[in-house]
Amino acid sequence: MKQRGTSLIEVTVAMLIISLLVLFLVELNRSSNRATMDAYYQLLACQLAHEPIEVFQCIGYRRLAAKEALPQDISKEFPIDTPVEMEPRPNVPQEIRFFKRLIHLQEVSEGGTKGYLITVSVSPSGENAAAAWLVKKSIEMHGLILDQPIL
Amino acid sequence: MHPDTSRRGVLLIFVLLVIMVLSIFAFQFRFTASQAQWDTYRFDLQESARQLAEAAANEAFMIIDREAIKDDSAIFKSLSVKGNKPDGKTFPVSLPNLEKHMDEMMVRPGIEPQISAEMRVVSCRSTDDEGHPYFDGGEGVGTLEIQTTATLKNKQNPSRMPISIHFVRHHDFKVAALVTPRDNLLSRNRYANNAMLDYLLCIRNGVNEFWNSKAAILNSSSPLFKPHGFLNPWTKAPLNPSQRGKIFLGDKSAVGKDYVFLNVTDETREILLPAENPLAFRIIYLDDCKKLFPTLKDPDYEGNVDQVEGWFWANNMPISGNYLLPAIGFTTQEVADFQNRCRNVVINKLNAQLSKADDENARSFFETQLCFEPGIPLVECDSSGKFSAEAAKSLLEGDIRQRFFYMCRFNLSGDKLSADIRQKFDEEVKHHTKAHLPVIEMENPSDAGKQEPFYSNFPEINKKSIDAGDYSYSSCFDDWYPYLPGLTAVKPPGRSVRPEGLLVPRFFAPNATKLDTILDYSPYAMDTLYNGYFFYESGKDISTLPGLGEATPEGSVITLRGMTNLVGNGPAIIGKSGQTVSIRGQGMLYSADGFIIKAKLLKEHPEFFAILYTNREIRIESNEVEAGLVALSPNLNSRIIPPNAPLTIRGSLTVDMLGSAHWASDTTLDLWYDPVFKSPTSSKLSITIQRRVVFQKMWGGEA
Repeated sequence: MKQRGTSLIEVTVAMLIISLLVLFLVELNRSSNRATMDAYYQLLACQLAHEPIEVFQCIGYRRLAAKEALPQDISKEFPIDTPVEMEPRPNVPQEIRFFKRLIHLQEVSEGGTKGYLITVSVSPSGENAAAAWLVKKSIEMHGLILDQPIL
Repeated sequence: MHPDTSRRGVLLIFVLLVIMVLSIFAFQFRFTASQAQWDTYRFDLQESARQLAEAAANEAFMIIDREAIKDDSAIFKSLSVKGNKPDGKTFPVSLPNLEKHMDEMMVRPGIEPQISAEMRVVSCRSTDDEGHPYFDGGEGVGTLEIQTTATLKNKQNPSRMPISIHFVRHHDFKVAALVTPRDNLLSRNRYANNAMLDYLLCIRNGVNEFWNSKAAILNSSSPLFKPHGFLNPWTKAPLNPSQRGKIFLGDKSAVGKDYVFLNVTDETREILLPAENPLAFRIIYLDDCKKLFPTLKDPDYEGNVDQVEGWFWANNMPISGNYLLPAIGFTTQEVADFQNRCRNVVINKLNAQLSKADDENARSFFETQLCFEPGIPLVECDSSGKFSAEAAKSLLEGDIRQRFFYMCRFNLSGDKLSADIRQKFDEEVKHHTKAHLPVIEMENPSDAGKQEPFYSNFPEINKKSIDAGDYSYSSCFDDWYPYLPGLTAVKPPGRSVRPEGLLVPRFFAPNATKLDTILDYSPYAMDTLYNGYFFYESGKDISTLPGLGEATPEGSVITLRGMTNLVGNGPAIIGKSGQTVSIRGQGMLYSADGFIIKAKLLKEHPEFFAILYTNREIRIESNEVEAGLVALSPNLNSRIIPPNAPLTIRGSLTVDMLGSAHWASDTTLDLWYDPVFKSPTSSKLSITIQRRVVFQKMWGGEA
């Protein structure tokens, strides 16, 4: 029996299948890459958003309510209602420079207890890697600063 | 097999293998990416849950701290220490502020937050660290636990495990009784650190001071201080007997005389104070009589008497049986009643005698001149203007006695004197008086004929027994009549029946002996119940201390809660001259080195109060203080130093000594009792929860 070679159709179909598979893998890789980068920048943004919440929790309601002047380095690093572009810091991923941060304090009162609702928005500071990778264009976190015990 | 044929499938297999490996890598990468996204998602949710749980713990603390002020709240009752073992009950704590803003705090959409908080007492004890029991009305120390749980559920994807964070904090708390129950009619029978607040005026070493000052501490014609026991200091409405502050003079230094007298004037003080021997007799001469009747101020009194006496003599008309009872009543009303009764008797008697002579001048003279020294009411009458036994019991404590029962008879003629008495007259009375008159004769119980006319007007006096013996020129003090029914330890000499009535000397139950013991313990036994310590700088105003004071445009506010120890070098200074410092809350400030009150110290609300407690002196430079002032020391020399101006204290005053002899020339003191210090049936507990966290734990994740 004479053996025939692989027909063009067969080759074409095989190449098509293989191409589709490769394309799928490429797309899978691309989306995975995007998801990873999104998660990374999102985590970075969340940490940047948590930072002032923790700082203002430590400052405490009493000092905030008393309108005491905050230490200069704190008021410079965590200004209220003023967007600040993040600057690289030691021991912190350098990518934070891709973000800007806005801190807002709102006095709240209910049931006889008073406090501050702190809202921190972190978003890319321009057309940069963070803007490219982040799905959400702004990360917003909140905290409730109430009069707290001494830790 | 043809060699070409055998190689044809290799390429395919190789390609398939490569694709398979690539697929594995791609899917692994995909899995890693998904895991990263999930980790980020969980991080966000966990952080949000942690924020919620921690905020809940903060708010729960505030709610508990606030509820602990209300003595009718479940939290207040649960924190009142009843022994050394907690009851284990848990109480849910509402979180209104957090629940309102909870949704805003969510990072991700579609997340349903749930939050809960509860409180329980995990340990407590009702004894101090040396095993001494605190007051059994709820005093003690303990630890409370606040546990919060924040759970975040994914509403869009319920299959996802919810995130749950648990937060636990422990705080120590202290329960101090600022005011403890006291029935004004009964003695305290158990330990309480705040017993001194029962008193409008408590002078721990007062008996000693009373006798050293020859009674001036309580009796003066121009009183340096005036306690107001029956009225509300602000509304001037009558105080319920159960709300009154008591008056107590203690015998801490044991001078041997455990009683004091009220209502003795400057002029009569020296002759009316009883001698060392309560049964001793005292001879009274004309000068003494004039002291007993100090309102007979006519400088020519003796001349007038001479005229009258001369008139009687000239008409050979002896008038005997004119009896006067010099008396100074406990209250103004009582004195007035007594004056009228005595005066009428005298005038009637005199009229009866004078009717024979029909001498209008003589009658007129006695009618206008015979009146009585009104005395000094130490305390005002109650709202009805009357003095009652119940009112006295609600106000006075210890062996405080009302002067008087001082009886003598004045005989203007003396022609009925027996030979031996006349001889006495010549030997003693004449020698001691200028006018040779009058003869002062003691009632002779054996002479029933002489007694009858007088006693018929004063039946209660008829029960009095006086053993005059042969000394008919003398009079005696009789301070053996107990005032309160049931005090039968002493009886009138020769009598078994106690007299009752207006003229009976008033005695007040010597039932405060335990007070001295109680005061020995305070405030040292309460060290562990101090809710905090404020360190102050000498010379600086403590009303501006952060956490204690607060400056306002109108002045300063001192916020009090429980017992606070002020630690500094030198006296704690309150306010500035001309300023007003307001008191907010209820509490006691203790300063070992004393206080200097420069500002007016006023309460913001009737229920608020401040107690200033020191072991030295309280110097007051303003003219108005609304606080309980306590100055006690082992040396028995702590006191207040008022300004050289009128001072009003609305609160209470407990000192080792009053020291009024050392007060400045223009000092006067109006002392009012703040009824907030008096609780007949229940304690006023102050619960202070320490802000410091003594234990904290957090755990959780996917629930």
